Parts: sequence; C-alpha cells; structure tokens
Amino acid sequence: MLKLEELCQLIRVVAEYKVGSVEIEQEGVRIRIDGSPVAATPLLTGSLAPASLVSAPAPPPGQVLEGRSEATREADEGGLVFVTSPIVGTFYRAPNPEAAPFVEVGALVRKGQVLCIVEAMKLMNEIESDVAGTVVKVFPDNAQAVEFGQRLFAIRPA
Amino acid sequence: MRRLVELAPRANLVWLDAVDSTNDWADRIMAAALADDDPRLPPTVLVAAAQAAGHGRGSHWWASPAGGLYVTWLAWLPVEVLPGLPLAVSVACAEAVEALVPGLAVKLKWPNDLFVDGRKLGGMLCHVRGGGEQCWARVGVGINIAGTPALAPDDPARPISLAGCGWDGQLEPAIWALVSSFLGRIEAALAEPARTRERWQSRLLHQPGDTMRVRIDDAVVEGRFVGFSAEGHLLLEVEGRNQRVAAGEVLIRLES
Repeated sequence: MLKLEELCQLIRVVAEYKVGSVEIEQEGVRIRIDGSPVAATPLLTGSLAPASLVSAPAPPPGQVLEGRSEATREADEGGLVFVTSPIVGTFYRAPNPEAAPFVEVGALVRKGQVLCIVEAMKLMNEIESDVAGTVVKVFPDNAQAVEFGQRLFAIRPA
Repeated sequence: MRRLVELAPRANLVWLDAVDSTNDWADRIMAAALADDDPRLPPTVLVAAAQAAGHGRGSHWWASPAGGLYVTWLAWLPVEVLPGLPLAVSVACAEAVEALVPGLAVKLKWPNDLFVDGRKLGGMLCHVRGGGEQCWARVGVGINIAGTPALAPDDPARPISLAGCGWDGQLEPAIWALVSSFLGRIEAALAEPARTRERWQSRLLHQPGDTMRVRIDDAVVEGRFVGFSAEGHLLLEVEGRNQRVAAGEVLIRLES
C-alpha cells in the first residue's frame, strides 16, 4: 500500500512537473492522480485574491481570524499561556461525541497539537496549541457556547 | 491516459476506489504534509466511489453507497477567507448541481445542507487547522446522484437524489462535471464574500417569522426565526428573548 508521505510526494510531483496523470495499483488498491497545470500556483493569491479581498467588506468583529496564532494565544500570565477562541462558536473537547477528548488536564502537549474544536456554521476550527507544555486548566464545558477571545485552555510551557 | 476532466481544474484530483472516508484521508495527508519542512501542497481533491465510514456532523455518519459524490477538497487558504468558507462552499455546490441539471432549484437548509423539494440532496462539513496567515482547510461534500442511501422511511434526513429529480445521465461523468464545476466556482465565491453571502441567503429555506426548531447538542430549542447575524449565525426569538445560534441542526418537520 502506498504510504501517505509517498502520496504527498506524488501530488507535488504531478503538479510541479506537469506530468498529467498517474495511476498506481498496489495490493488491490487503485489510486489515480490527475495533475492540474496551474495547481502549483497557491490558491487565492496572485492577481485574484488581494484585489478582491481588499475591496470586500471587513469581516464582523467576532469573525476576524487575521493572525490566527495570535488570536488563539494571549500574553503570558503567571507563566501560563492561554489558548483563546478565534471565533464565536461551540466548544468541543473531542472530534465527535463518542470519541475521547483531545487532551485532559495534566496532559503534555506539543506545539501544533489539536486541543479542541470550536464549531460555527458547520465549520470545525481545530484549535492547536502554540506551545509545548502541560495542560493546566480547561475553561469551558464540552458543547458550551464560547465567545471570540474567550479562554479555552491554560498551558504551562515546558 | 485520458484526463479525468476536460477542463483544467485548479487542483490535483486523487481518485480512490473505496475508502473509509475521504475526509479521514485528507486529514492523514494534511498531517503528513504538516510534518514536512514545507507544509504546503497543491490544492487537492480526493474523490471516492464509495465510503465505508463517511462522516456527518457530530456523531452523525454519512451513508455513502456507490452512486453518490463523495469528495474532500483540501486547500491551503488565507485565514481571511475562512469565515466565509461554509457559505462559499454551499453556493459553489448548489450552482454546480444546477449547472448539471438545468431547471433544478437547489435550496439550502441552514447553514449549508443542499435541499430539493424539501428533501436532502447533499451536505458538507468543513474543517480548518493551522496558524499564521494561512490554514489548511478540508471540505467534505456528499451529494446523492444515482440513488439515495437506504434509510428508514421515517428518517428525518428524507434524502433525494438527482436521479429522483429526473436527471438520467451517467454517474462518472456527472461526478467529474460536479467536481470541475465546483473548482471553477469556489475561488471567486471565497474572494467575494459579500456577493456570496447574498447568493447564500437567497437560497435559504427559512423566512423571518417562521417557527424553527434547532437541535443544539442534546437539547431542542424552538423559537421564531428572526434573521441572520453578520456572520450568518441564526437569530431566534425564544420565549421573548433573542438567542444567537452559531452551531446546531435545524429540524425539518416531516410532512404528513
């Protein structure tokens, strides 16, 4: 079976070298990649995005996600780092109601690890930790409505 | 080798005969990419003929027999466009369906379920992850094309398929036409949030003054639908007080 890293590499190669299509069959599993001639261009950059985005109305205050990493992290307070909600939404501690929480109090987390989901409009924001450390406190209850900037987790940096 | 679509799409297309879930695959690919020195990947669409474990919202599953469209669009997006992502995706999908089946009127149940004649044609779920100026977004979309999943007669999902709407085309060309059409529309829909918001709102089933029941986690809230917030959240009047709903499931009454 093709490894995921190999699949990522194939996607990049198909795009960058414009090889058209690749079809691989291994152990009964068939994967076909059809490359795009423009796929190496980052989406929504270049001539389309900046002009359109600048002319668009500013997002409402509760929805401003600019500088997402800053929006999800407050300044240190007593050595703790607070992860805050980047949007108005509903806080979930687990990927679905039957699953175990992403993290528990006392857990060691690494930078980039997903701590929770904040949902709005069927958009699941997977909130990551900006620091490696220990989870000291989880502020909201599961399925609680949270506001923009509300504290979600306190983390003591390693 | 023939191309999967005639139009050059702004994404690589990865076809998988059968998977657990295209969203799970996208999640794994995203994790593998994030572990790289350069986490970016070209925009990529994963398409499956069938899914063994398709996801819906929360604990819901998405029945995914052969005969439907099951795709996940995986893209590295600027954070500014994320608030408009659920609206843009629903508008792009609705327009793609109407382009395939002329004369069909696709409506939306808040926030972005695809409905035709009061029945569910499809749905979508967006996930975003990452920090800084750009984020990973993975958008899963399911649309009933040739048939509907076998559900209980009283299942509130009340699915309908394009075939049930009178469409009589072939499945695989329809899948590629929908994917290609979606890719051709989504960037503009994201780049023009005000216009997209208007197009989204014009398709919604709900009218101010309607009585609305919404499942929020384990509870069901009933109120009078007032309108939408700037973000597109539901505004309800419940027992004389205004309530904003960012996440929940609008319950559609079964017709007798």
